[in-house]
Amino acid sequence: MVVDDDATNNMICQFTIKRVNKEADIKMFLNPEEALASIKEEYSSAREVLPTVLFLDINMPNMTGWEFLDVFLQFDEWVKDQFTIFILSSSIEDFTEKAEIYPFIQGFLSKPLKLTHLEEIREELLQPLLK
Amino acid sequence: MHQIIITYMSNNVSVFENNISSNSPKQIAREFKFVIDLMPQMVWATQPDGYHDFFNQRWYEFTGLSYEDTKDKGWSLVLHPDDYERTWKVWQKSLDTGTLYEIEYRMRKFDGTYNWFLARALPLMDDKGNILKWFGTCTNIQDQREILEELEKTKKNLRVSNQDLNKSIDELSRINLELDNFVYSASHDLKAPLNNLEGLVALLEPSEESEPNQDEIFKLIGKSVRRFKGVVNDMTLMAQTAKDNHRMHNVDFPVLLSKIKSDLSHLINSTGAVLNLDLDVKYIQYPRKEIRSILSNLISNGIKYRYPNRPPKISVRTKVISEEILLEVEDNGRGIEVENISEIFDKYFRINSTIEGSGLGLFIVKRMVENRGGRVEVMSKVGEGSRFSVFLKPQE
Repeated sequence: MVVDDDATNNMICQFTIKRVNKEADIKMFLNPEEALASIKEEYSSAREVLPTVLFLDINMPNMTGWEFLDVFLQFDEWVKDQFTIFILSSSIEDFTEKAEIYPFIQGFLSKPLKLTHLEEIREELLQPLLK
Repeated sequence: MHQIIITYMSNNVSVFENNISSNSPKQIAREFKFVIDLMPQMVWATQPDGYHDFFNQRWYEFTGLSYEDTKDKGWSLVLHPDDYERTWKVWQKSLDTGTLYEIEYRMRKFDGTYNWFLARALPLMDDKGNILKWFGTCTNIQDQREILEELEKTKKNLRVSNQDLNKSIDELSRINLELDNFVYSASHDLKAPLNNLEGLVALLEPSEESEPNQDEIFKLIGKSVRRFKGVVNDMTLMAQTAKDNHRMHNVDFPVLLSKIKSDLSHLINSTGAVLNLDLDVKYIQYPRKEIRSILSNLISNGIKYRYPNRPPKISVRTKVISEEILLEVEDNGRGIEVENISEIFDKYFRINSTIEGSGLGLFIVKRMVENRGGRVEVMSKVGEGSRFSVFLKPQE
């Protein structure tokens, strides 16, 4: 899942992810509020785990990435457990302080999303399974 | 006159008696007059009532006048007219009270010029305290005065140049801060399209499988390049407004607005935006580029910051308000939070805010308008919309 108000970035994410996994089910949201509504609806009622990697932008007009996370935190554990969250931002600000506030963030990636990013993420996610 | 000196000398001869007792009173008087005439200062004496009855050589040299001209009250005729009254007041007071006479005044030289003097006098008294005579001196302080005046002038000039320097320092610090923030925000604004380009180009790099979305990627590259260019154009515009080098035009509002509409056609069509025009004023003498930039920034903001799921309605009005021309752009968008209103024109410190764009728009608008003596006001209600009022000073 990609949440970013920049449509071009979302397309880059889509194409890049498709390179790694043609079968990947990719959802893209320009509006974070719509993304939250969709998560609430689809993941609450899901009968099986839908392991999802979320690429979240920070600077968005209607709702910042941080505000998005504040709402997301209120969701059921069952919903939250299905997500692995990465911040994907072009911002040159230092996010270390925020990282302490949101410890469940898996990582901070600087745009654009690259194949190497995805390969690293795949390895990270597979490792626990291999053990 | 010599008579008087001699009288005076004979009364005070005891002072000299011990040293030059061998000399006769006449000799002592001669020596005494010699010394008094040698002094660089003017020396004078008066009777107890202020009747001037003695001056030394310096007096005659300076004034070019004779004893007859300046005896009694005649001396005061060489006073500068502006100092005349004050001097008489002080002198009269000393005569009445028998206290030290001290004053600075200007006296006329033989050549008609005036010099400043410090005049001092003390009364000589008998055993019973009766005034016998007044003895006075006048010291030429013209040079000191001139030096002091020069010093004051220099001090004043220094103060002024100090103020100028401080002003320049403030201005420079402001420009420096502007530049710092400009570099920061420019790097931020340019980074977004540049990152996209990097990602898109990476997707075009040869791989085992051919990229199925090549056409789309090329389209996106074009879009990113345009966005990059847009930011650079805004930056150029900003540099130009700083230089204030735009020429005047007779701007036709209806024509200009239809041009802006076609510039923004993509934004207008994709959002279903409606533009209402209510133009009391059809023409203005103003740099066309600036009017175009002001209106296009305000209109595109009105559309970009629309209320979710509500087609944007933008009203553009022009009116004459007393001496100014009012341009008004009103939208039905998201509105601006009260705490953000004061910051919206300040591009520098809102980078961290939630709004992204080139970030230079309103800053440029405000700077352009204010550079020509106008002002921008904004009214906004969250959830209902905003109204930007631009008051333009008619240009020569």
